[in-house]
Amino acid sequence: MVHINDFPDEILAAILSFFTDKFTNVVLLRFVCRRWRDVLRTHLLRIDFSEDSVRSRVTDAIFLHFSAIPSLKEVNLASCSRLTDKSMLKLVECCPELAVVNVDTCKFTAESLGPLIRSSGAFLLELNLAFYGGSDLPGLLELLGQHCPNLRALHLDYAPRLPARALWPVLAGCPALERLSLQGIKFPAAVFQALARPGSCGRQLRSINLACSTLAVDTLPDLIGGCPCLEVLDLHRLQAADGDSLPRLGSLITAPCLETLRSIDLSGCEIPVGFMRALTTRGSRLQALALRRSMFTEGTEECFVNAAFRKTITSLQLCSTLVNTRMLQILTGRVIPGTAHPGDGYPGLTYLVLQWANEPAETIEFLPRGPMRLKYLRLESNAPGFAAHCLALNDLERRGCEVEMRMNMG
Amino acid sequence: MATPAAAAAAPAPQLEGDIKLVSEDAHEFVTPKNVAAQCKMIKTMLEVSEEQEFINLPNVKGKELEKVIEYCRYHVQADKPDSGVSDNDKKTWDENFVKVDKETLFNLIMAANYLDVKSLLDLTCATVANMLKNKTPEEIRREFNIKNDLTPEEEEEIKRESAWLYQ
Repeated sequence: MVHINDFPDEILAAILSFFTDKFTNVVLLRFVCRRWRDVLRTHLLRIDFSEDSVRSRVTDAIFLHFSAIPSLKEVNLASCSRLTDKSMLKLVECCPELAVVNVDTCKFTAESLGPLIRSSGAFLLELNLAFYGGSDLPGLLELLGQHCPNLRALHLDYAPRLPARALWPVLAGCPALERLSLQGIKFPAAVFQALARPGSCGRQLRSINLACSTLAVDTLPDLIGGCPCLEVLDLHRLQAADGDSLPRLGSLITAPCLETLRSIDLSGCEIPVGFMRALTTRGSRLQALALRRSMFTEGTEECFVNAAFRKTITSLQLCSTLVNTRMLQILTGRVIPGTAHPGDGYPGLTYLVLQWANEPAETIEFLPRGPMRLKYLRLESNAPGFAAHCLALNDLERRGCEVEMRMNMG
Repeated sequence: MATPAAAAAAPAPQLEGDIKLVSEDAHEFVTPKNVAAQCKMIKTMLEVSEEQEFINLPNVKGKELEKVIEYCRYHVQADKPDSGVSDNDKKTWDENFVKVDKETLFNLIMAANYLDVKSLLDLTCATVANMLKNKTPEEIRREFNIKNDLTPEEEEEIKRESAWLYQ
């Protein structure tokens, strides 16, 4: 019989490191036995100080005590507000092969982040610089382009000072970049034109997050045209730069990435029926679609009847204008006399969020009759308790579906 | 210090035909080369010499080798972009694949490590890590049959080190 302590240090550490996504678990595991305590001190791969109860308490001294482990590959310091450059410099000195670093909402400056980028170099795969406030961000991005050819993911969410040209060194110098997160950024068009330029990593880009960003209306086609292989696109609450009009999603109808997308979030966007039709007919790989608080024109429900689309979708989030009897009939594949046959519904759907406004609670009775095997259903409504007497929900729970009620439509 | 090469992918060599894999306990598995090459260790051997008809794997027993091949065979098909297999389906398949007894799981970890199948090593290690969830150190020891060999002084030291968490 193989015993867990027969594994070599590296493998034991690899196992335990899957459990150290919380710092408190590192402490817990140290109590198990001497071997585990020692392996955690010498071979740990991942440490995460971002837990609520931990991040505000971690000081430089505590951090240095727990993180001087040369094997570390992943370090999450998000919101560790007491850590200074001293901690980061020591980490860089001690851990030469950092691959995943999260310094979201930290106080580190270019004094230590520069050395981090230079020293990790080709090992660095993911960097989260969200809320980095320094005016020297362009300098850091230039270093990334020079030293980190293997960078796969970069988060610059809510960076308050990101000039138009600052991203170019990364787009040109990091050919492996697959995920780019630019949430909450007021973004000039130049960056998106840059994505489409020859030599940019735009062609490899798999995921772009522009949630809550502000765009000039006519830059979206540039952006999407430069990234023909996108699989994940988050345009949640995208805003138009000129204030009154929403970005023109309609102009994306011909974008090549509609055919490669696996997940798209259009929550809070105004979505023309033509765009939905294009998405549901050409989006043959689409698995997840989020439309919370989106705005639609009449008749959009019929786009959801498309057979190829219904087969691949596993996750749907629908705003209240789409939650009505007709929509639930389409989801569950019920035949309705006098209308188009919606076929066999959504057989692969496992995750469903419905925002509920004026629809009578009985409508939900359709859900358990459909072919899908829901694993999770969430109802969001400003009228709490509306579905409390709904037998259908009990029915779903009995079949192993987790049902959650939320009292607001966030 | 070794530096990983930049992401310039070399063109993949064409792997055609079958290769016979021989386990420690002399079980033979005739496997398509492109499936066997999911094991980086085998891939390297195939690249060194194209002429060989079989590969001896002295550190893997037949039972685990069969499982590893099953895993590689599924993922070669399912990971193709046009396979029509959703991420959810793959996840469910993986979850079912590791529903085995602890001994088999531990042996699979050793096999995945030796044969160098990163995704399988991650899957199996994560499965063991899952068994640590919601347990006290005492419950963890019971689950894995571990003896507590920390002295009271050493336990005290660990408590002292983490006292700041509870202040």
